[in-house]
Amino acid sequence: MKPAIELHDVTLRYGDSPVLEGLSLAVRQGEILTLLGPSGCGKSTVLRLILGFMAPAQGRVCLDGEVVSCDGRVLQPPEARRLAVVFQDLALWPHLTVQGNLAFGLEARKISAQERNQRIMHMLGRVGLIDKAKRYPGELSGGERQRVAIARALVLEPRAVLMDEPLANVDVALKQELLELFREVLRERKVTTLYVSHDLSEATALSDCIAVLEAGRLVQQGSLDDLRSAPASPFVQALMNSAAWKNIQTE
Amino acid sequence: MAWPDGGPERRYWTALTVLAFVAPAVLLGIGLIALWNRPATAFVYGGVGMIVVGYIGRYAVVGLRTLTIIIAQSSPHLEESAAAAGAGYLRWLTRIVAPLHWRGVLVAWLLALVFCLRDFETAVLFYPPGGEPLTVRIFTLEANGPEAVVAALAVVQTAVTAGALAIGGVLLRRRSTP
Repeated sequence: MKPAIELHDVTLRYGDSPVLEGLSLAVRQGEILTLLGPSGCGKSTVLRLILGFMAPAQGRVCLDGEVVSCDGRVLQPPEARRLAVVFQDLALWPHLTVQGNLAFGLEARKISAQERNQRIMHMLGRVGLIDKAKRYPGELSGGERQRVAIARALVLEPRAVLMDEPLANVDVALKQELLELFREVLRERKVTTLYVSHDLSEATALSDCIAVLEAGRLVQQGSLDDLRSAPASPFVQALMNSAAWKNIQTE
Repeated sequence: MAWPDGGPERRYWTALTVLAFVAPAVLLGIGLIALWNRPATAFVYGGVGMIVVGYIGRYAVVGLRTLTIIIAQSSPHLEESAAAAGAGYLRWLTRIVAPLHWRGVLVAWLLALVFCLRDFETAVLFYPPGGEPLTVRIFTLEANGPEAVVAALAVVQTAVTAGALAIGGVLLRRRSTP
């Protein structure tokens, strides 16, 4: 089976500064892969390339085996890629209700009103927000907004969900609760997920596979055990030796 | 951003609209006459539509730049989420940008309107017979018309501008969603 998302030898520069250098990465169908790396290593740029907001200077981006961007050209626009995204700031549309936020993408994809309502209510029920359907994002708590964001992404039944550090601004207790919810809903739907984070605990809690990005290069990809048993770089070694990782092991 | 960047051609359009605004109105007027005073476009050139074309050409930059700055202040992720959700340009514009930035649209429109209402120099070159704007009417009457009429028209001119701004002000004070 072809990978859901694939980057082949992707290179990107901003002016003279290299952002990504010969990056190759594959996310299998139904897999949850965390792209882990320090700030500024190019993680979010990878998401923007996959979403189609920019094109690689060299190399190609494929979705389900189909080339959607290559060598400086976006061949398939973002709106045709059937992806969903959850940004760090969540980017809920403040002028639309919770229901409106979920309905927007379904309307764009010409889903009938009856099916739309069914899917929205089912999804809101799943994330525990059925009674908040008529509320605006400004009337919700931080945790509820996170739930709306994940529901808005999943209600589209996309070919893959891309998540750009959605829990970066969340306190520890809430983060734990939301990670559990994310894991449950992503696994029960078998949604291919590329989760971007710099936090090892999030990667551990969610993913089947971790890819470590360092200064625009993929230094290692594998399971947690692979990373622990044979760290491919001093950065990965440091990550595994970090207090956070030791805490996770203890837990 | 997905669509708002638009590509390099956007820079040329911006430069062109800035040029139309800063160039002497006479220059723009002569250019518009040369372009529109032809048999094929006589239906536009001979009517009030030509004044609208002139105003858009000269003052589009005021509204567009205002709107661009206002939109640029909001998170690009709002637009990018819409694109990723499958929304085309028109849906993005009507369902996300317009409702989200309606105040900005209104302010941009009001600014451009004020410029149009006080314009004299653009329209004076090609206003149609009997279709002159108020500013041109005031100017021509000033030379040999009754002072009282000129004064009254000046009051009307000011009142129309103030009225438009007042309505705009009321609309801008309307409460937004939470």
